[in-house]
Amino acid sequence: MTHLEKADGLHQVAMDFAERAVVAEHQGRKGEARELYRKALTQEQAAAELLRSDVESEPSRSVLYRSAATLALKSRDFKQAKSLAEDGLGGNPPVEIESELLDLLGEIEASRPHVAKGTHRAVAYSWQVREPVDERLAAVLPPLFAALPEPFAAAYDPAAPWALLGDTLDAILAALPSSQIDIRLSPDVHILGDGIVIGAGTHIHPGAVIEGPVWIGRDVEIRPGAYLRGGIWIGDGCVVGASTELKRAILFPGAKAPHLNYVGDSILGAGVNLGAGTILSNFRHDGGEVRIGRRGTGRRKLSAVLGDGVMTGCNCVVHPGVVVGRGTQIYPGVQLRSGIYPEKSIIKLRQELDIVPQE
Amino acid sequence: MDSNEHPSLFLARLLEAAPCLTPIFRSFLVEAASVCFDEQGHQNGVGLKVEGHFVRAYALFWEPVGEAARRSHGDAEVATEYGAYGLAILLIKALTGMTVVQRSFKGTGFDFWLGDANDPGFQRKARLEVSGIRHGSTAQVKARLELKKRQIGNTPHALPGYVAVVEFGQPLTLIVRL
Repeated sequence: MTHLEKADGLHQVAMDFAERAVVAEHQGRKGEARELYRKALTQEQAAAELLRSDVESEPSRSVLYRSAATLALKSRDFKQAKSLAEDGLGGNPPVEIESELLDLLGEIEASRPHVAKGTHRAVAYSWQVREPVDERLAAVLPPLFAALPEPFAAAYDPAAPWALLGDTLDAILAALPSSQIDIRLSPDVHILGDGIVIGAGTHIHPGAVIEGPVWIGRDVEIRPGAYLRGGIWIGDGCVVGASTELKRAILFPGAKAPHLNYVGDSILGAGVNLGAGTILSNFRHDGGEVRIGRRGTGRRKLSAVLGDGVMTGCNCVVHPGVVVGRGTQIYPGVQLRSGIYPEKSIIKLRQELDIVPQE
Repeated sequence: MDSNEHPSLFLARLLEAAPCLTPIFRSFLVEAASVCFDEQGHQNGVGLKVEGHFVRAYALFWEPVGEAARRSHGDAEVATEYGAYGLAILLIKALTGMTVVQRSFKGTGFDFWLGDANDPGFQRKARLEVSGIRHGSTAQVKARLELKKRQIGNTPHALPGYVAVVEFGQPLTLIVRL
């Protein structure tokens, strides 16, 4: 029996439970309905998991994840619902199912109860990897980089591309000389700390603040008011724009964060272009471990890994724990929630405007 | 509409159109649809118009609705949604010969999949998306259809299928093929 046939069997059982749950719910047997929805969720999740690594089985894979996520939402298991919806997006869903999964994520977010005022949880900040990342993640991550700059190539783990931001980046920056600046700097550029390397042909405008350790390649442009907070690797030909802040970031050659951007704990692939005001947010409000789907990354701070050529529109906000496949374009104003997004796609934003005459 | 010359459509024959559904759920759909027609004051044999990709008319028949069924389907919104499922599934069988062989959970209910029951998964299947209106104008039905089409995306359609909007007041069903 193939995985698809096994998944089909589990799905039929799940839907039988779901149908009975609907009837029980509308006949006022709420407790029984809840139990039946939970049973349906268990079976449907098991069906979807059977196809986790089988992106060739689309649309079955994403339909099952969408169905399971909807059942989890029905069961008010918001965390599970979100995780399942993200797993669904991690495959290769048809455009309609992808759109429904994104809508479902919005619905889950809107349905989550808010944390009560006054609650507080102590947060331990750590860069250490807590647990190994599931190897199966490599199978669902989209293609990201055509080539890796030499210092990163040997250490790259396709199942955990964000790991470059940890020990690998630390080791590269720790080996830098105290200062090696191959350009003439304006006296109005503020250089702080040790481990500063700036390549030939790079232009740094007055008013920029650069804290070490930082490695800046050749022909980079760093504009007025840019703030490099340390732990930075910037490849040849990149642009760091006016009032842009970088903190522990890797910019592969030609990447641009050109206008009013925040790039925290992120990797920008070659030729990435961030629209004005795009924010790569790196920290959860509850201080918890950043996860990609259901899998931990071992990092308390992590925003995005954007594949080569990704473009964001103005005022996008990328939430902690996002991977975007190469060449994908993101509409202006999108709130990109944690998850894995496919390559060569367009992530659209739907909105409705009511335009009414003035009284 | 004079329905005497139209072919008959029996709600009770949902089993033939959706063999994969559980008996309890099929009864639930039939009962919900019956309550919707009854509540709109229709009598057995009422003429049902189908427009859009198909242009047909049917004479519709259902079992008498008791007080218990009316009470059970007191939530008009829910009854309309599930009644619409039942009628749309029957119509698709009558219009295309295709039966519902899969269903998946979506939104507040289900979407349905048409095709070969021996073919596992959702490949090579057509999707049936259904929406219901208890009482509305033709313009409202068309507007709902456009909304539904926008929701599931206009182009390109990797998933073939049908969108059906069922209105119980006239009664009218609009069906488009994607």
